[in-house]
Amino acid sequence: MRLRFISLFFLLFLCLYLFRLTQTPRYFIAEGKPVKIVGRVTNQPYFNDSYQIIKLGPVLILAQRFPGYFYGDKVEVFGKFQKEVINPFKSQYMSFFPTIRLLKEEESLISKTNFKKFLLKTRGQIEEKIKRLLPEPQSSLLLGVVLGVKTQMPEDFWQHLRKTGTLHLVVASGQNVVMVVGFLMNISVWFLKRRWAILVAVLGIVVYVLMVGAEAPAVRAGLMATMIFIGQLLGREVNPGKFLCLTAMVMLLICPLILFDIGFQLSFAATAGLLWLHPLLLTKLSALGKIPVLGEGLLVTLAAQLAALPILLVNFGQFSWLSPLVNALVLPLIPLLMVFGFIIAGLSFFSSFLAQLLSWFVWPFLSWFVKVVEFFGGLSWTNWEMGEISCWWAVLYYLILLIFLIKAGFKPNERIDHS
Amino acid sequence: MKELTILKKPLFWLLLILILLWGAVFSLPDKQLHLVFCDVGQGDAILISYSQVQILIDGGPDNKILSCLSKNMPFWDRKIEIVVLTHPEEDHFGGLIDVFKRYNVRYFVANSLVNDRASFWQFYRLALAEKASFYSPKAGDKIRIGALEFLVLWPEKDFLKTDNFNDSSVVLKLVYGDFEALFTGDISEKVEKLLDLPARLAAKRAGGVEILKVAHHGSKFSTSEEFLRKIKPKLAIISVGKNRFGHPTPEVLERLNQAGVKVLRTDQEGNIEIVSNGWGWYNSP
Repeated sequence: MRLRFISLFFLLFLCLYLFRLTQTPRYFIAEGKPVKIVGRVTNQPYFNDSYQIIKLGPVLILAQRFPGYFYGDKVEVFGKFQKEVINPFKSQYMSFFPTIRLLKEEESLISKTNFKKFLLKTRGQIEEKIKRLLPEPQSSLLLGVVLGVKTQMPEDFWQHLRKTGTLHLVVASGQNVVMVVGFLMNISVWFLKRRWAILVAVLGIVVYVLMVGAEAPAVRAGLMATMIFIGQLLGREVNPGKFLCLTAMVMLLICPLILFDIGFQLSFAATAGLLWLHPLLLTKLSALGKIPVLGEGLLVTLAAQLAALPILLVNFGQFSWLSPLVNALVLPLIPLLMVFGFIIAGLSFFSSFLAQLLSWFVWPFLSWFVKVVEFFGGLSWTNWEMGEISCWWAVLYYLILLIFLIKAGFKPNERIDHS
Repeated sequence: MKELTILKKPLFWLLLILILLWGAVFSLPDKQLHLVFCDVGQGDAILISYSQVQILIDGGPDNKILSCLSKNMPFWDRKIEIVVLTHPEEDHFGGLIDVFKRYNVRYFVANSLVNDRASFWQFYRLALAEKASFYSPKAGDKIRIGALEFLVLWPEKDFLKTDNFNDSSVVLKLVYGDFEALFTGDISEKVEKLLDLPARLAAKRAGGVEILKVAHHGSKFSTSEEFLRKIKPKLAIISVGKNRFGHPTPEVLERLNQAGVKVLRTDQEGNIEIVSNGWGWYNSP
């Protein structure tokens, strides 16, 4: 009965999803000749050493770094576009150094765009303040851990993070949301009833998720946390695994193309790994878990990596087998960095002196992180480069993993702090 | 988050403060002059530091300068006393945008020329917002800070021209005891001839300079034989990266070789540091 219900539900979801997928808007821009398009900047532009990448929906524009554009800006772009087909449902257009003109428009204060713009501007201010307090790459690292900011990170440090498989630590994701929630709940229960405190926490989640740019991992974590809260309010038992599936379904129905977003895939795979693989590893590899200090981090990373491995290999064609060790060496620092980071960000608006003082206290931790990542990132033999593999391997891998899990009698984990 | 319970332990804070104090002690500057030619790709960026005073000449094209500054300044020092922009071209001011955004700058030294690019106006706005004292140098001026002295050798007053930024470069000679270094910006042979070298160089002593920053990344229109004969550098540094101009040119490398000058290049060595106590000096790498 139960199984039938679940499969019926799943089938219904699949139909709905496919329907939504066929309904996604298609864009057509003539190729090879200069075209003028008008659009709105849909993501905060990515700044590199000497250029910026601006996104207007399905259009990617590579432009000079100055003048910088901002989320929500309305721009007119004149140049040649190239089409790039990613899959039958998703294609994007690229343009290199076209002429861009900023269009002035009247500001209406109450709109979603402007609310998000306000939050992103606040984030921009926090970024500028923190960058004045600490040297590079420490300041970029702190911003990455707290707000998931990756732009303007020194190129070589970014490469080291990528090579050591620690890039996921500078993404705003589950752990950040858990911290925000914990912080708000702890403060608001002092003077509010529990259900109002939960409302404050949920509002906090919305603000934080929008502030970090509403990318898939943060949205996932935010939705999950919200659902768990609603479950608590309704007095229902909380089963994170169920909520993970439900979150995925909601996100896919709202934005079908997100299925092809690597951040979305990685985030869900890693969380699933923590929920289902981690308890299994805890029993099977209990010896590893007993290593002092490092043990816990090793198992957590191993679980997430085993679940996300095919996605990494299919998309990036490389994998660092030392990554669980590097992660275990820096993971215990992350909650500390977040707490310090949130406080420094808040303080910097009131007293730059106190913010500076506190940033010196966080400096040794950041430097430890930097040194570890730079050391392991500098070793050339830790990476497996294998070129991009076919996605059928990934399907096969997941089938085997699933069978393995079912045989071991799959018990979901109650902890959802990490990821 | 059980990792956070550590914050409640006094021992944790005690240890942290100890680590910080030792970290600060170990990053205390020595009483020596440090010249660091930063590897910023195609462009110039030279950090001069003595005790707690930092002087930055140009910032390279982009934010690569920041990691060089982090490596060569104590972590608690967020102040650069003097920033010099030799001339308003992107491979010299580009990185200064990030420097102004992140560091407190006391004095900003640059000639009054402006470049009409979007990035320059961005830089200009930031430099104004920073409230650094602005100073436009002319040949014959002296800038003294702590134990260091800079002689301004260029530009002459009526030589500021917007159609030739390179030849309007600020040329500085650093004097610290017996140690001298010449920073030539992007000047060409024409200006090299016009520099009032004998009078101002001989003022201190007849020997040549220790360090020459080769002008214009090793362009063949700079660093003439005659100039090298006049200033007799012991070591020449070429600040250069991947470029489409053929810098450094074989002609300049040959002239330096003929003059018996040792050459180091940032594209081969990375950051190049020179340390001096006022009479002797050494370089690494």
